[in-house]
Amino acid sequence: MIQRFIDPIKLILTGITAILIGIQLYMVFFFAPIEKYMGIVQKIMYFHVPTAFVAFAAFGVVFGAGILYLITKNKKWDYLAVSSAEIGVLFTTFVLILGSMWARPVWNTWWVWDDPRLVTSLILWFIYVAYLLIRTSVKGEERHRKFAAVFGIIGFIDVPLVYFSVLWWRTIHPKVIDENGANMPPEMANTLFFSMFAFMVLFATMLLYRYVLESQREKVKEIRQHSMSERTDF
Amino acid sequence: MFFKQSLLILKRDLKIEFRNKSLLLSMIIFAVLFQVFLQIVFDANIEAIKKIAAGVLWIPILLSALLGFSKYGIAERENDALTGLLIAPVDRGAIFLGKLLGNLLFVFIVVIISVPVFFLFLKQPFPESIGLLLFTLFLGSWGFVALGVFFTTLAQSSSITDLLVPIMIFPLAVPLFLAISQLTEMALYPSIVMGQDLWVLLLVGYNILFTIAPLFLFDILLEV
Amino acid sequence: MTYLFIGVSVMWIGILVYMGRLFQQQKQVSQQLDNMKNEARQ
Repeated sequence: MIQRFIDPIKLILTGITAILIGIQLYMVFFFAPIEKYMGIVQKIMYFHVPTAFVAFAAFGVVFGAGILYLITKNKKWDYLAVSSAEIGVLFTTFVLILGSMWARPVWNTWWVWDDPRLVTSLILWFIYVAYLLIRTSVKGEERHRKFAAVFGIIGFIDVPLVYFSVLWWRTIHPKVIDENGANMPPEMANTLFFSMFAFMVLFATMLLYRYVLESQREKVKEIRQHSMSERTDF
Repeated sequence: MFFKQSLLILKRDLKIEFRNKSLLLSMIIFAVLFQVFLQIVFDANIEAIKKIAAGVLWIPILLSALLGFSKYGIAERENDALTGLLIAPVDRGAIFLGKLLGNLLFVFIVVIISVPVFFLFLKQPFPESIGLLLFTLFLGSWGFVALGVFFTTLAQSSSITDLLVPIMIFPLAVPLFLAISQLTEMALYPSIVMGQDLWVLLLVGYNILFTIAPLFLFDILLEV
Repeated sequence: MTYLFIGVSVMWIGILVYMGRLFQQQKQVSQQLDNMKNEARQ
């Protein structure tokens, strides 16, 4: 039933994503003005900020799906969680790379420990790599699902703690980087918001592909186990 | 009833561990050895050590505790006794608390020996706010052990337990590490007392969170 | 300019490689499912 609609939905979503990303690229390189002080490098922002949003949304999905899995014990939520975690780690990697690429010409360094957002992103990356490691290394069907769900929930709750502790840690020491206010011309702001929207749709598309793959893979596994046990019954 | 059960678990574990004292002894030796090692590699003179004192004090304790987690109650795994324990009519939360107290006792013994060794090597006047130092040592090791015991027990069915545990708990423990390193620095060099209450609050909150949450989660997670 | 170029291309290559891998695995799994269906029919 739903099976029949998956392929068309995938196609339509992919098409929409392609169009949105096309528009986004056009807006970034031709519509948005070049920033006065930082120059053209500042355009990294239109990729850096949306990827960060996608990463955070992905981990939010892991958190929500983890809770729902523990309550309902429905494996579908677990498929959603693992798919989302993988995409989240991928996008956090991009956030860190793009951030470094932006920081190098502007702050004259690849990395600073003074900004809580940077440090939190890095810790976030480690937490969810651990999440993926749990999934691949822990034995026992239901056990590793529950374990991963709990870890995903605790990891997400830990994020604000990490953020604020790094913030306090650094405000006690002299501060190097100021937060400059978001006084952008409307073209820039529009481009940024559109980029966020386009990347969210991209995330939804990737999540759908990954989710379908995960659930079908599990289905194959189930059928195999089922037929094996049938064979041994005789 | 609940506490009685966890004390029972604690008594049972300690009896097994003290039958041969190799775990406790090796934890202590490791901590002291690592302390000496750190002092040597950092070539710590009085000026330099001001910056790294908190790390030199804590790293041996934390690593020693970490090595202890997976070895404490290893007899449990060998004969699949954990299953027996889970079937026994004991509250799962009590199992967690009992294991936590046992590990904590070991880590405290390590602290009692390792910290004086630190001051022995440090060639530095005794810390002025000894109360704050003791408070930090107590709650710092408590938080780390709570986190460690929880995840070690969960990861026991993993193929890479010993490696997975630090990978899981170090990122989660970043707030804890920041709090204890800041507070230790304040205790050792009281001239930089700023935001102390904030860190104390964070440390206490973190401890409460990671002691209470596992008590409930253990029940869901450890079904036979 | 070079930083912008490197950053953005690393990101897109990463996404495309990831999606390519997904497609490949999806193909395999779909094929396995089809085989199973055929077996069940026989």
